[in-house]
Amino acid sequence: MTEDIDQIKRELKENIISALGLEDLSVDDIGDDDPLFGGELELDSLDAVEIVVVLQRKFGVNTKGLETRKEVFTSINTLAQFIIESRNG
Amino acid sequence: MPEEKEHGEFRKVDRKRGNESGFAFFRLVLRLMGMRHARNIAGIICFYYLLFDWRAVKKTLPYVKHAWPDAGFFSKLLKVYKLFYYQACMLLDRASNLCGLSGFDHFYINYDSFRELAEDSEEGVLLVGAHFGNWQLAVEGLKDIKCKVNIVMHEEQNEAVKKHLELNSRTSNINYIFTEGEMHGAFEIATALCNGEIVCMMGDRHYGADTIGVEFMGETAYFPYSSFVIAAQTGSPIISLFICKDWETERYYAYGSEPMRPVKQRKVPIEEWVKPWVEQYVKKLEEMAKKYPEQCFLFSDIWRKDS
Repeated sequence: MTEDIDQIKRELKENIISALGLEDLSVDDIGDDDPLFGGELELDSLDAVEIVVVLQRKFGVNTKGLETRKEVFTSINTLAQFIIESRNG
Repeated sequence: MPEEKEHGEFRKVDRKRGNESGFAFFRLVLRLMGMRHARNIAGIICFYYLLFDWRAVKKTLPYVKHAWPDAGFFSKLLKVYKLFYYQACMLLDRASNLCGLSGFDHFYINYDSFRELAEDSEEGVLLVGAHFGNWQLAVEGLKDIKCKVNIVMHEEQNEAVKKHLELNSRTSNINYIFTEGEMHGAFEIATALCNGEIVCMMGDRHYGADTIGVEFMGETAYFPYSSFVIAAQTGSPIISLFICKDWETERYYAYGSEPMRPVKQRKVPIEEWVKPWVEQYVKKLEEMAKKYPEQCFLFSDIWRKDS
């Protein structure tokens, strides 16, 4: 399970960097607990769309109802937890 | 006058004109006296607004000045009055439809490509409208589509309209996404499009969102571009949709564009790659405004960046 979550976090970071065009950042530059919004990454609502697309299309999880669970988008850690939760059904 | 906080600053909020008793009054007039008399009463009320609501007149003048640049002062005021009146007539059509007194007699142009995309493909579709013609009634037409339809709008403060929206959501395929809050409905919009649903947004007024300068009616006007970015991000086609009324036949025409497919360009600033797509939409809007100038309800100075 630990290996799985680490792998998911790495893939998440790679996909977010690629989708948001943050090529000047590397996977190691994004901490697992760094805030995605309102922190150093300075992501905005249009970037949130990109993250939803990554979750739906790259990780195959349905994001329906997530508007009431905004804490999921806090950090890479919370996103990875959500992906595991969704996959385990 | 009520105030609300927006972007950290307090601003005055317009008192809503259409309150619940106003809606009830016009529903009663429609039921008892019919559309012709309801329009006559609306005409008198619009004249009152022309004389005494200078804020509303002032908001309308930038469009009037661009649409009829050679008109004199009184001619411009007459145009303002006509815009008020035609919008009131559109609202009456909608009220009549909601009361079950009339249907939504409409004719689609370019409907097939939209219907195929909405019903037969798994792609989400973004419909970009404008404050043009009877955009409120367009929602009723979308109830026939065999697909969930999400309308993106600002939180409604008018209780009468709010009640109607809640009822509409419960009893139809229509869902409302409100843009208040930190993420401006981004999660809901993206999820809906990824799930193959229809999302409707307004493309002519920005409500504080980022804009881009595009030539419109002979001068640079500022249009929001987020719908085009979202379409590119989700890979969804985008269709512009305008609902206009032919007053002679009392029939509505829903003009849909061919689907546009914005493509994001890496390492190119958003404003640069999105501009041609916004221009395509604005070109359509201008065509429609030239064809039906008195149905373009752009009550905001979009030619000023800080409007």
